[in-house]
Amino acid sequence: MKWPSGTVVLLLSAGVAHATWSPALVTVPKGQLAPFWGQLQKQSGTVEVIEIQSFQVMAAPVTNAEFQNFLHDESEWSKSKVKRIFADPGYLEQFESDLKLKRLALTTAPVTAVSWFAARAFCERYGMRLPTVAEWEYMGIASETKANAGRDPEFLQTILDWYSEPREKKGLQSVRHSRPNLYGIYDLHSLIWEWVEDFNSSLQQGEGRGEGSLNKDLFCGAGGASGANKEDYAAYMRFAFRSSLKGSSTVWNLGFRCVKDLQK
Amino acid sequence: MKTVLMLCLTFFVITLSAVVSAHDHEPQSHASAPPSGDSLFNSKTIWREVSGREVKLSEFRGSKVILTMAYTSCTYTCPLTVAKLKEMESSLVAKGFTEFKIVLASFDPKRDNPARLSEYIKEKKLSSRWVLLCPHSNKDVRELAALLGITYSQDKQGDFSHSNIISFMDEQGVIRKTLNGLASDPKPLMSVLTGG
Repeated sequence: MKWPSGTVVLLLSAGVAHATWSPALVTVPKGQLAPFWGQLQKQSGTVEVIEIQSFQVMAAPVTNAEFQNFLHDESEWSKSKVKRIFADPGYLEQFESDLKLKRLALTTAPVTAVSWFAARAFCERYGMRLPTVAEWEYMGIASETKANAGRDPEFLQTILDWYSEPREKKGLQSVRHSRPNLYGIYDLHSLIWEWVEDFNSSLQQGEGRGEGSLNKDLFCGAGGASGANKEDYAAYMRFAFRSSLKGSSTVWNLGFRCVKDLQK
Repeated sequence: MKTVLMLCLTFFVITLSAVVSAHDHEPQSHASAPPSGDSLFNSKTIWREVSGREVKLSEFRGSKVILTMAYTSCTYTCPLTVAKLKEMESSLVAKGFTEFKIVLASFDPKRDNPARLSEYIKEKKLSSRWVLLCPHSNKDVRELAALLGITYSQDKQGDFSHSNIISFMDEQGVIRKTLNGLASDPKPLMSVLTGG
């Protein structure tokens, strides 16, 4: 049997109640990612490839209700108790009080206005972690039919359309709002932005290090052409967005999902 | 001998603060008051000193700290970082400010163990003001970097590219001033540290 997402199971063992939560997870197979920020190999003229190990990921982003449950157990992350260094003043703005959502916020909508520190604490609490940039991009490049739709103009255009659509702050829809991709993952592109573990990755790679300036492989003109896939403008936008964040940042349409390492 | 001295000193300080708090009729002595919301002492990251002892950032309570991140097998900007910190140290000491620490936290949980860092202290002839910290895990490195606004990534060879940010952390764990990039003037940071 399959547990519906967000089920909270109470296991009673030796008189102590442990809240265990079983989100719907899907397994992403191992593979390779040739990211646009990858280094161009001088000899072969190809871009460095990142090997991605198989992992499990939440099929949908963490919802308001799921985060509410977390707050019941971990009150140090509630609105009134969170330390300023871990979350800016916009933290959980969809909550009226520590445990209560505002009237218009859906329990089934993705939790947003969460900082990186809070997102991390959530995943850790359930034995999971945030995905890395590479893992996220690897999931995000899969369309409904292809594992690598990075050169599929239609797929890329759909993502860009979402990025460029004007958006109203109120009324985030429920999760699982669009069709799942090849792996069965929902909402990677059309609902919210998502936190990754290494959001504060350096823009400089390898040889760019000594110069103290931004990586010329990443931005503009001739440099841009050396990236793996210059058509994937959406990936550049995500990279730019992540670079603008601090660990304590909260944004009304920035949420997260957790991943789980497979047992080796 | 040094350890014995430290133990005596610690005992003395504890006794002293106990006496002080008894006089103030406060439930908690100042030293154990919870850190303010913007203090790095809230971070639960775990590090190891060159002695192998585990430390948390909150152990720097009461000290003025110049804080940055680097790694010892780095041949690019890290030697420059150390040179810059040494320069700041001698300049502060020359002005008569001797009560501060220089804390260098490593990016590299794999290679920077206590033995390696202890060698590095000798190689670079670092004074007793310097505290070198080995990370417990990549997770802790990521967290401290996020708290300090440092961006970094690791390449396939295991080297790190990272931004150079030097911070001044006050006695309560609050970052008061940062230096962005090694080319920037350290004077504003030092003047906040000396309160001048």
